[in-house]
Amino acid sequence: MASESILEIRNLTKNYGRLRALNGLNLHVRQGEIYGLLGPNGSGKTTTLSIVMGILKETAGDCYWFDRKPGYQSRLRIGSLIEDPHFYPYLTLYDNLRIITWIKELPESQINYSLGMTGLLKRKYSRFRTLSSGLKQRLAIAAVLVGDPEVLVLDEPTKSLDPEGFSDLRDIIQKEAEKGKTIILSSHILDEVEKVCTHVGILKSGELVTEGKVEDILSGKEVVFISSEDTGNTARLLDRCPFIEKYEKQDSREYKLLLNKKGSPAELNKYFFDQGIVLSKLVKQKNTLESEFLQLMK
Amino acid sequence: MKKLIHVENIKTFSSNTFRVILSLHFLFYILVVLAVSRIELSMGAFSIGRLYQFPNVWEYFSWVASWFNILLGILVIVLICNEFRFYTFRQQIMNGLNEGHLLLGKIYMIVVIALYALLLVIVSSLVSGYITGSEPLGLSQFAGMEVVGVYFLQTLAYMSMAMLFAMLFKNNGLAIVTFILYLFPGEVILRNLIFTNIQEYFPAKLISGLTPLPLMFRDQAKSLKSIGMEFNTAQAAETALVTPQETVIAIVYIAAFLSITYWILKRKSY
Repeated sequence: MASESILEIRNLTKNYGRLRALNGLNLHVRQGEIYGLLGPNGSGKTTTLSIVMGILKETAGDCYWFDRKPGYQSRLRIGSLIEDPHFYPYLTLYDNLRIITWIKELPESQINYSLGMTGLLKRKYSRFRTLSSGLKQRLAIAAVLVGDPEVLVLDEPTKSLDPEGFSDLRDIIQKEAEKGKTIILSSHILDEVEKVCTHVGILKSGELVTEGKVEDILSGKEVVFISSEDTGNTARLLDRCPFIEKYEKQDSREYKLLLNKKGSPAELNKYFFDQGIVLSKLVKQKNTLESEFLQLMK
Repeated sequence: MKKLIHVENIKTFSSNTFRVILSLHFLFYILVVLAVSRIELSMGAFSIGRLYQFPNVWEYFSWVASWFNILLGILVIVLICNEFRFYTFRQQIMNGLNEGHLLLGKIYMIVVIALYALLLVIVSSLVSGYITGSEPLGLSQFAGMEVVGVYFLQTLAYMSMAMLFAMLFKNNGLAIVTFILYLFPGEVILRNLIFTNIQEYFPAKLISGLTPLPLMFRDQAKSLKSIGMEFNTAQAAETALVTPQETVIAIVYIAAFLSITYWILKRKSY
C-alpha cells in the first residue's frame, strides 16, 4: 500500500526578475520519509522550502501538503526552520516560544519539553539577543519541535552548530524519525544526509537531477580507479566499454570510472584483458552520496 | 481571535519601543495641558480657565490630544516595521498564521492604543472638569462628550494610515519620514496645487479636521474678525466644523487603508 502523501510539488517555477531559480520542479515526499534535499548554493533548495512554507510566492506551479492546497491549517501541522532563526530579540526564549504555542493553540507545557530537547532549559529566561549564534540555532530547532509536529522542514539546520550541537541534532532527527515523523532536510553536509536520510533529491539550477531512495542511488554503481601502461589503447577502450557510465582522467595513467548497473570490477578487468590490455591498477571504492553528488554536478 | 490577542500582547507589551513612545505621548499631552492651564488670559467671554471646565473641556482636551496622534502613528510604524526587521512576520506565517491573521493582530493593537488615548482624554477631562467646576457631577457636564468618540475615530484613522505606510516601506526610517512628509508638506502641496476642487476630502485634511478648534476659540476668532482683526485662525475656524458626512468619510478611509494593507500583505513575500 502506498504511503500517505505529505508533500507534492508539481511544475514549480520561480523567477527572480530574469533569473529562473526553479524550473518546473516536481517532487514527492511520503509519510515517514526522511527526505534530503541537496544541491549546490543557488540550486533552489531554500527557494523550494520557502515556497512550500508560504513565505515566498511561486511564479507558476502547485504544491500540496497532505493532498490539499497549502494554507495556514497545513502549516500548523509542520515545524519549520528556513534559513536563519528569527525571533523577537527583546523577548526571552520562553516568551518567544509562547508565541508559537499560542499560534498553534498548544499548552505552554510544551515549551519546557522543546527547550529541554535542545539543551536550552537553563537559558529559558535569557533574552534572545543575548544568545550566541549556535544557541540561536538551537532555539530555532526547539521552535520546530514545539507541539510535536507531524512534519519537520529543516533548511540547513546544522548552520552555526558546534560539534556537540551537531551530534544533538542528529539524535533529535533520529528520535523524531523513529516516531514516524516525516522530515524534509536540506544540507550541504552530505555525509550527515547519507547517515540520516532515507530518500534524497538532488537539485541543480532549479531542476531535480535525481531523486530516490539513498540505497537505490548508491547501489549498483561502483567507483573504480584503473591504470595501465598502454595509455593510448586504454583511453580508446574507455569510450567503448559497455560497463562504464562516466569516467574522468586523474593523471597521465590513472582514470576514475563510475560503473553502470551492468558492470562490476571483475567484468571490467576481463573486458580490458580480452582486448589485450593488462590493468596495472584496479581499485574499487565505495560509492558515497558525496561522490554521486559531485558526479551529478559536473 | 483569542490567540491573536495573546500573541500581540506578548510581543507588544514587552517592547521597550512601545513603552517609550507611549510614555512620551502621555508626558507631552499632560505637559501641554498643565502648561496651558497656567496661562491667565481672558478676552471678553473667552478665558483659558473656561477651556478646562465642563463642557468645554471635552472639545479642548480632544483637540490638544489630536496634536500627538502623529506619535501614535509613529508607534504603529515602528511596531510593524520591526516585524519585517526581525523577520517575525515570516516566522509567524511558517508557524501557522496567514496574512489575514497578521492584519487582525495589528488592528487589535491599533484599537488597544486608540482605547488608551481615549481613556487618557476621558480621565484627564473628568479630573480637570471636576477640579475646576463648582457644580457636582451631573448629566449636563457630559454634554458635548461625543467629540471624544470622534477623537477615538481620528486616532484609528491616523494609525491605519501609518500602518499602510509601514507595509509599503517595511523600513522604520523610510516609513516614518514618508508618513511625516505626507502629512505636512506632501498633502498640503497636493491639495493646493493640483486637486484644489476636492481638497476638503484629502485624508490628512479630513482626518485632522475631525477634532476641530474648540468652540470657544472659534467664537473668539469670529468676534476678532467682526472687529477687523483677521488672522489665519479665524479663517480656519470657519471651515473646521465636523459634520456627520466627514465622520462617515473618515470611516471609509479607515476601511480603505486596511483593505490596501491587506492587499499588500497578500502579495508580499516574506
